Amino acid sequence: MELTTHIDLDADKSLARVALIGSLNTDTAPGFALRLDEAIAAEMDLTVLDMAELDYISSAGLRVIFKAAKQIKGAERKLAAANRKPHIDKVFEILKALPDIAVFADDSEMDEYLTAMQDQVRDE
Amino acid sequence: MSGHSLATRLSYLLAACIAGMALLTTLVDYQLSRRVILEQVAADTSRIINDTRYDLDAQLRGVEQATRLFAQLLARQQYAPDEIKQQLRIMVESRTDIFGGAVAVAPAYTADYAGFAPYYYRPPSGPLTYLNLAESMSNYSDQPWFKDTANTGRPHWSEPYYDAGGGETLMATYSVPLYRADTNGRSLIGVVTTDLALTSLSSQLEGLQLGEAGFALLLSRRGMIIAGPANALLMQPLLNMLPAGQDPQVWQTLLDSAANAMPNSSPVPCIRQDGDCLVHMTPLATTGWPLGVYYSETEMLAPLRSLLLRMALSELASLMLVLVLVHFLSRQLTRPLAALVSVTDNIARGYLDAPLPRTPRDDEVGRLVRSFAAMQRNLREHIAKLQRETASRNRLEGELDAARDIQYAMIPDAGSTRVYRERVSLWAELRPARSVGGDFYWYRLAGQQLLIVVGDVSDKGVPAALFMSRAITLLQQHAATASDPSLLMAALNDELCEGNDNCMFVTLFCGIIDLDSLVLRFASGGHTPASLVREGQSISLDQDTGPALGLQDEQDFPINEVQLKATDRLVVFTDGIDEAFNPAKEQLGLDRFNQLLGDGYAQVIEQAGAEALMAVERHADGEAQSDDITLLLLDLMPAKTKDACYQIPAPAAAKTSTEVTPVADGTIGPLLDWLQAQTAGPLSDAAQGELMLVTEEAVTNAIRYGRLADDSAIAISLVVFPDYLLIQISDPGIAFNPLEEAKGAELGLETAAAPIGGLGVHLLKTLTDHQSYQRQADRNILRLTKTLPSAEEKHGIDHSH
Repeated sequence: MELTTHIDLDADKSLARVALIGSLNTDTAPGFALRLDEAIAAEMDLTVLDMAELDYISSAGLRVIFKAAKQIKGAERKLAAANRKPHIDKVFEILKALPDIAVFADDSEMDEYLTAMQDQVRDE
Repeated sequence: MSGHSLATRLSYLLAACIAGMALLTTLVDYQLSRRVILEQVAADTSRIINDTRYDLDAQLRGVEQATRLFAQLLARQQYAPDEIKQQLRIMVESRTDIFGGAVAVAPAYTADYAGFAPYYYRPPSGPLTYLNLAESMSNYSDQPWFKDTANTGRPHWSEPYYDAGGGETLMATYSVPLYRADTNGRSLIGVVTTDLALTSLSSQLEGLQLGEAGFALLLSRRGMIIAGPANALLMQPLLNMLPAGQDPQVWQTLLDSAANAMPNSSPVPCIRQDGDCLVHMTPLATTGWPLGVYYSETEMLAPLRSLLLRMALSELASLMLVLVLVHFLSRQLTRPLAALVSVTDNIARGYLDAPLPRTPRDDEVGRLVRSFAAMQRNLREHIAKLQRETASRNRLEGELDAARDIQYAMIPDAGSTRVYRERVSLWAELRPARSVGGDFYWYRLAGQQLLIVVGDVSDKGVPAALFMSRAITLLQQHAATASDPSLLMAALNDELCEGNDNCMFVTLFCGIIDLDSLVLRFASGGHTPASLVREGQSISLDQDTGPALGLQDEQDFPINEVQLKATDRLVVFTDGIDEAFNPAKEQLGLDRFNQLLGDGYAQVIEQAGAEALMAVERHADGEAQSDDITLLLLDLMPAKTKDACYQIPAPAAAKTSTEVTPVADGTIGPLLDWLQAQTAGPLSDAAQGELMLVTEEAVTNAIRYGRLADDSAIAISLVVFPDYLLIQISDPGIAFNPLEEAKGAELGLETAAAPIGGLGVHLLKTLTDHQSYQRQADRNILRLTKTLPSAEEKHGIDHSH
């Protein structure tokens, strides 16, 4: 029941991709919190939690994501989740957690979103 | 003391009475005194007027007499001019009130052609001065004073006049004709006159006592002012001199009356002041001159006014004195009452020993104080008695609580049984109607033989509890060796009949199930029939029953036999359930109970039991539980697949009650690993994940908030049945029911508003099918059951062997 976190920063797209692999539980939540702080510190416009390989999440893990969402929202930036497995999705649904963050079903959805964002920036 | 104490009220009342009486007296006094004083003033004034008139008349009359006497002297014999002059001088000199005197000899009787009219007068300073009027005026016999006197032949007073060239003063002249007898009878030989200076009259009027505003006036017959106050303009018509605001008509009327020798008076407006004023007008007897007196009634009443003011002040002073006295006296009288009030307040606050005021008096107040003392004493005794009774009731309740604990100790698992064994799950609850009751149950598993007993002692309360303890003790003795329910009951009946003079009795269900053959053999001693729930239908088992136990010995209890199926649920209960009343006094009844048992068939045993009890409560709808309730559920099933236990030692607890104990790193991971390993076979990945999730939430909750003692541990038991699994988390922390007391976070809020935490309880309730909480033996026991996907089609699956 370990958790591995990969952080991939893309300055061009101003995107921080945080990939969670394994189980986000009471034990692994504190370590993940530190990693997520690193990603947020990069101050990208969009921070995406890639849950493609996340098998398990408990309320301890959700608390870390809540805190990060509040922090990012306060800094006028965005947090999004991508590739949630059905049973992970179910937990979010039960708790009606973070109703206002962007959720991408897969990478292509995320790319569309990023393109739209960049277009918007160019229009301005 | 408030402003409306008895004393104050009494003072006010008395003061008002006294003030009213004083006011009335003063008013009456004033009216009476006023009349008396006004009469007095009128009398005084009329006396003053009469005196003044008398004086004036006397003075005028003196002049008249002196003049007439002198005239008679001269008439008696013939005098030489020098002698006349001499006599005149003597007369004028002797009469100081006379300003001057003259003898005007008729021209016919004088030797001198110009006539002879000697005149002596007193100038304002210096000696008598002589003047021969024959020399100073021509034809004195033509002067009105001579001619008028000669014509009328009678003495008379002239109108007052200003004597210019003579005495230079205001005067009036009295003229007397001088006759001498002769052949013609008598002949006028001259006129004797005397002059009166009117200033002497003025000084007389000024001395009158008529108050500040009052004054007297002497008028001529023509209404001229001839004497009056110092500032009066003499020889002016009074009517022209009236001050503004006076009605000339009034004064004219007065003058007219005087002219007709009639005294008269009239009220007039006051001059230069307020109030009522009066004028008296009366003519002099001698000259007919009106004498007027003006005075202010108000001024005359001024002494009365000041007297009244002084009276009022002294009455006010007395009133104040009376007030103080009355207040003091009434305070004296009501002091025990005031003290009584404060004692009452104290008694109301619970100080029953507050001392009462002492009063030796025998009046109403004294009697009140004494009866109050009696009341206080009685109250004290009553409350002491009440306290004793309360204490004894509390002791009794304490003893009943202890009795209930003892009674519960005799019943397996203290009246709340959850047993999950191979091939059988047993769930039982006992809820007494009073703190001690007469229901009981018992079970014993020996080999493959499961004995279950459910009993209901007649009546409730302490006697029933005592009989029940006797029954259950005997039952335990006999059950050890019994293999036949019928024999067991017969033996028990015989024992219970011994010494049962109170005729207490017990109804009993006693059954033995062979877990291999699933044959139920049972006997009933007048007990409510048990229910069999089979494939969603619940029916009351037909039974051949014996009598209730304890009434008569040597009884037979027929045996009943039922072949059970592995999917069956057997439900044994006492009549507290089917005879539960609702507010409309309707019983729940066996039919309705069977109906709800059938409906709950698909539920796991935990849930089905809890739901059945809740249904009974719902039926009662607030009506007090009239009888003890015992409910026993028994599920038969194939052997369970897994039974495992995991322990987490308690971490060092937080130091304060508000602190949260952190979950040590490496606590949860191994637990999740263990769970995963235990459930790898029967559970899908998703179900496994959910089971892990709820377990993690429950366990972290217990660690964080349980304040677990050192050397204690959280026990996690997992029982996997073919159609459901049960996870039980038992922790020795402080009593806490997460299902009811945990503060769940409000869900669905936007990120900014959403609280961090409070999510675990939502997950617990959502991801499991049934949750129950119990506090047992100082442990929190949370049981979560989760139906396995295959069990959702239970009715369609054949579980029988």
